[in-house]
Amino acid sequence: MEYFLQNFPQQLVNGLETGSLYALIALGYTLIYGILEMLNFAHGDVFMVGGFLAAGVTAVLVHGGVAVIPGVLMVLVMMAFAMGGTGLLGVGIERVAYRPLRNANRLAPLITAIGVSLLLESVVQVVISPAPVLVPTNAFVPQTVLRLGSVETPLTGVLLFVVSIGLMVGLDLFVFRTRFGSAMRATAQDREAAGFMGIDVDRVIMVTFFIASALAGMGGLLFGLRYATVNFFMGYLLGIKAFTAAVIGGIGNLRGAMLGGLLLGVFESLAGGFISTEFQDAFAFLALIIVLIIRPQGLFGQPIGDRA
Amino acid sequence: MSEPIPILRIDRLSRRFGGLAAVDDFSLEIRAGEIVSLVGPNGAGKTTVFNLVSGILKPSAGSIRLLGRELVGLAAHRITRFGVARTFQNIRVFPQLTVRENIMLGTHHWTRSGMLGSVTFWPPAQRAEREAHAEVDKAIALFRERLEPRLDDPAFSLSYANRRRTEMARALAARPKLLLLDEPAAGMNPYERVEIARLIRSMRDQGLTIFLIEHHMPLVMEISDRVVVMDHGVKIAEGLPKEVHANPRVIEAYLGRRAATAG
Amino acid sequence: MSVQPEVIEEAPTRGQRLWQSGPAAWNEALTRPVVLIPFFLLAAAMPLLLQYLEDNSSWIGAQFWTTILANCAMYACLAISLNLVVGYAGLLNLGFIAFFGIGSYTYALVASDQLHQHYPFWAALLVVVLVTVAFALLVGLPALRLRGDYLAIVTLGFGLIMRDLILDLDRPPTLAGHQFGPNDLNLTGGTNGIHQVDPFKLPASLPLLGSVPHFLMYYWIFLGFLALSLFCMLRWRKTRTGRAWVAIREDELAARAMGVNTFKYRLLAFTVSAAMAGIVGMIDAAFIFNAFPGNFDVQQTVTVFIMVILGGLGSLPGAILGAVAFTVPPFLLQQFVFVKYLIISVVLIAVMVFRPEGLLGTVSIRPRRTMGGTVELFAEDAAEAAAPSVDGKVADLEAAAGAIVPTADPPPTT
Repeated sequence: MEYFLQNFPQQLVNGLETGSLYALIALGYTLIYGILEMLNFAHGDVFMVGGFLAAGVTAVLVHGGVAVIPGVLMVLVMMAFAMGGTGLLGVGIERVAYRPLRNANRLAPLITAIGVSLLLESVVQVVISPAPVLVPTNAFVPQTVLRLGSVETPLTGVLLFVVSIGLMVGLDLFVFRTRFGSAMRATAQDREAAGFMGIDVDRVIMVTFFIASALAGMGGLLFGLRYATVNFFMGYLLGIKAFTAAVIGGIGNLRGAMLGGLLLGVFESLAGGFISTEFQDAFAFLALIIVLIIRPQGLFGQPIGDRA
Repeated sequence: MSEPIPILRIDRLSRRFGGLAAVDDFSLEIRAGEIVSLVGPNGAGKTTVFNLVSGILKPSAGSIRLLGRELVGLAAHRITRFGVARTFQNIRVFPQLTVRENIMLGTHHWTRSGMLGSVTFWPPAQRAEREAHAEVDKAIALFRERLEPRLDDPAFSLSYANRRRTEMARALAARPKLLLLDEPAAGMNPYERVEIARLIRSMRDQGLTIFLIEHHMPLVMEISDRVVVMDHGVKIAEGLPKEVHANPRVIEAYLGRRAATAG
Repeated sequence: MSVQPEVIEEAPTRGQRLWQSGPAAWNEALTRPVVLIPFFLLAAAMPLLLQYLEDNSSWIGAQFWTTILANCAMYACLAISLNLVVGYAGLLNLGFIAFFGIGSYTYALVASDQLHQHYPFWAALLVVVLVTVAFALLVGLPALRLRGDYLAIVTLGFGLIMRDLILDLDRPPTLAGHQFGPNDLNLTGGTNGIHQVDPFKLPASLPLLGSVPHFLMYYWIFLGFLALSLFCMLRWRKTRTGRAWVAIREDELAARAMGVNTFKYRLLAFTVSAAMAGIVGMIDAAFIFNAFPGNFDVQQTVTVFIMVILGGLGSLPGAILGAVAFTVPPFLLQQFVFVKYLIISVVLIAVMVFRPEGLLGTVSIRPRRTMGGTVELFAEDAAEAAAPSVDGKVADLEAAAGAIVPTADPPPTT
């Protein structure tokens, strides 16, 4: 019990940190699912590409352990590349691989999405590196460790949390407060009817893919800053967990995805810290199964009739 | 004259979607050998009644009894076993199965042939398969000249009318006591409609009880023993075709308040 | 009222039928006994032919090519069992390869020095089937009640967890500070896998089998299992069980309304497919003498998927074709191994975009106007609830009166 009390705050902070990353990726899943009713398996790998784009920027702009531009500017350049690059990638994926199958059997786009996922992984593996790539964060980000009582976390961890929450709030405002946001919500509710109402559905879907992918790209960047390494396989498990978070929050529900992400992060961190580190991933999976059985519409989702 | 046994008894049936009551306090009794039509404007909740009776939707309240046996709470496939078969408004044949296989699906619930039986050529399983094949022949009796030449073609290659016939044959092969037909004449040309009327009658003459949704009023008037009218989820009229036709509430529901008061 | 009969649709000729039903007819033609029996006889005799060539010329490679053939047969078995679950029943099982792995490891545990067990063949087979079925039920019971895409993610997660478990169980598992099992407990051998797995103990006294080389023996075993699976699949597809599977795949709601217990049949397809994959895994472990975690990577699932999809979902000859097409090249070209998944993913996307039904497939996967499954039911109810009360009846009456009623197209806006 004493052990528990001593370690609980630290595990909680760790959980919030990874949880905010899950939430950021989960938003993308939930956005795309909300609009296309499609599970974009490649989303986790878009996150991975974001991490590699950020790492690529450092490879160009960091020489011999010293950054050629100031740290803040450096992070901004990384952001521009990671978010812009993955955003365009997302739009490209939608155009080439998903649009032709938009009205097909539900199985078809899922299978294509697995193909896209494997393609992104293989391209990075073959073209860049099958081994983890280091991100020299110490060249431009202060390696400060913040302490509060017994709890400690690196500055980059706080950055990860703060930026994620900021982006989520921004997205929420965009979707619920802007004209384009309401076009998105209309498309999500009934694509055909939205089309009849003069909404350019193709454009809405394109922008949705851009936003979702850019958020994932940002996630990749934050991951790179926090853990100082990226690898071609990192989007896989993280993608599944983020999807789990989206399901926990109620798929298609933005705020649910955010809460689901944080919840899953904390749950996993506590289970990992107090029950078993080896089976940490299995706990996330277990959480998914339990939620799906007990409340398939998610913790914060509205029940959609008896869709058993 | 003794009162015929009610084959279907719907009692105070309700179904809500969110705040909207698609079916509200709906009661109905259908006696064996009757043809009962359910009519009403679009959105009246007719198809929802069918979905509730066939177990595809669960009611919010109420009871549905088939020959005295409660159906509410049973899974759709169990209800089929008790003797309810249906067709769908927007024809649902299995496109990649042949017409024959589609119809054989109807025999699914009363034949017994499993995975082991089929690979070992186990005699009872073989017999079940033969029975299923034989049933196809009986089920298409009413449509023989149309469907027989197409039995081994995949259902997606059929014409619209033949898909409807296949769907009906499939429902007949399920050997139901009660047959639910959801707009059997929709999209049919006048000749085909006449044929449908004849078909429904001969199905009844073979001992089936028929509950149908239909929009085409002349057809409803011609074949129904009784007509039930729904609007906004509520039963607004019930009776012989002639009575219902003259009922002002029905005219109002169909043509709007202005038409009814003006006329 | 005089009624003119509708023109009766003419039965198509045999040629029209072949053209019209396309792949379905080809599948039918290719799965007749008159094609399959010679195919299998030829396939079985192939290594002997290769051996004869090697003995009578300067060419060497009979063993190499027989090993390739054995791999082809193994992947064909896997493709056919995946086809059962994805192609017939329409369930996206992305953890498929995990069942292959479970079969391999289960056999390795009961037939090696890992746990000092050396079960005879039939006992091992029984254990393998029981264990894979148990895992399939563990995943299937909760997941098969859910919508299709949830099944996909649950099985994907399952595959990943199984891989992690295999890697982590080289030491006793620890939960909340409590260690399960003795300190030296090593179930899976971690990244090293389990080595020196027993080959099957077949009676050496059988006149032919005793002297047959290992690789040839296992080629025949794989081929035999392929023939057996193919036979079962063909029988199932032609009888009540298979009709129910395809019906669920094509239109779940209509299947339920025809009295099919959809959950039961899905579970059946899922479990049988898993058990078949488990048996293939067992044969593989005995063939290569070990169970190695790298063989059950998630990418392997995609590899088997592309075999099924290239050939066409639902097509048995297609699955065999796909297995051969993706098994042979990595053996011949070392460069291919490096970019294998790159090529596989590109081909997968290209097939799905340009020819989603595959070369010989029978699944209606093409884009269509209406959505399938439960969604349509609700769309229908919603449409019924939302439609303005301009009624079909009026239009019908007008049509009967001879008026031309525009129903499909909205009036042009000027």
